[in-house]
Amino acid sequence: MSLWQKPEHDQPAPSESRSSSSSSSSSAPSAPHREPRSGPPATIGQSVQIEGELTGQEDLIIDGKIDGKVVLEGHHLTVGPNGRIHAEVHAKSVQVNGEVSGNIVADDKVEISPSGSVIGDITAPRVALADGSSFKGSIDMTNKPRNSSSGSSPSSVNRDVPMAAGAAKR
Amino acid sequence: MRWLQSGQALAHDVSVIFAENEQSCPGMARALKRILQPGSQPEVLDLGQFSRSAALYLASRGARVAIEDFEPPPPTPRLKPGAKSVDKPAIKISQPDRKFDLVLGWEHVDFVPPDRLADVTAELSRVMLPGAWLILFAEDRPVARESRPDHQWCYRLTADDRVVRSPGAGPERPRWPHANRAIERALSPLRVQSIQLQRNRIREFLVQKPETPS
Repeated sequence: MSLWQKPEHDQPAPSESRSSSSSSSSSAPSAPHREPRSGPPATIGQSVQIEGELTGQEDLIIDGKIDGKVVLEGHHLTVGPNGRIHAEVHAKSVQVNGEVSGNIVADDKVEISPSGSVIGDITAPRVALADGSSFKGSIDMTNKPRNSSSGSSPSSVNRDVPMAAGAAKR
Repeated sequence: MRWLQSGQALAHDVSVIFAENEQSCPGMARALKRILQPGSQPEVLDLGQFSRSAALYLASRGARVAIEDFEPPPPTPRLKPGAKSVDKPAIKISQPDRKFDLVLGWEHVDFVPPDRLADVTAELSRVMLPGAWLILFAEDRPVARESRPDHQWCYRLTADDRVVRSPGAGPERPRWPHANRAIERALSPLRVQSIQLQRNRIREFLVQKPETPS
């Protein structure tokens, strides 16, 4: 944030991998392959509005408006509280603090915080919906291997036995 | 004395919490056993605004769960003098016909006025596949003509046959006590397979849609 305040000699020597992550240097001819940068995730600010496909190789925070498609293969996407996304989203993990209208596919996890709102289908091995969050759509967690030990054993229930024995008819 | 009273109140609260905590739901277990077959991905509709952890539980068990916040309809307004009919607010679940293997209606039926019960169950039946299941919960209170304001409760599945019921945080709405026969009549032509009275005075209705229309 405030790198300009620091003296030049305090900065570490720029390595090739670090410099290749920035948008300005990544376009240099000497950097043919983009490597994920380390450090804080990139941020799309509140006043930014993008229409089209947004792809990246690093973690991203979206606090602006996106209309189209967001693809962050293997990386984390955070939709900030001011973020408004009207798009298909594909990332390793997605945290929604703002609004998403569109389907979300995550390789790891989707989390909707209390301030988050999602209208669309979620496909992810792990999904967390906080109390107070708004969600309308469907959840598909079939990427996760089925755990037959979860829950009680269905085999303990005899489907042929009439269940009305304990019924409280009136 | 005050401490004793507090202790008694605490013991009462604990007993109430215990009684209202985990409940056995054989109807739920029976329906889940039928639909959660290896290699299949059943379609489940969860109509509970306060039951999302149950939806996540079922999704983790292999179901594809659609979540829909169902708004109970208001009572039908009285016919005004000179008017020929009254406009009933439409009851619409924004899902296609015959899609779901299981519909979780939780205790919405308690918040449906008696004159709209049949409309709601008809809409539930519309989205159910033939042979699909419907789970409803209803308080077991003396039947009365008047409603009383109450919150919808949260439901959490801890196992296929275990439900935890806890106070909800939503707005108060009128809750009507419906008799078993009133619910059964409204559910027709769906078939009530069982009515299980739980320890916390909640009735669990297990309902099935016939494979062939009668």
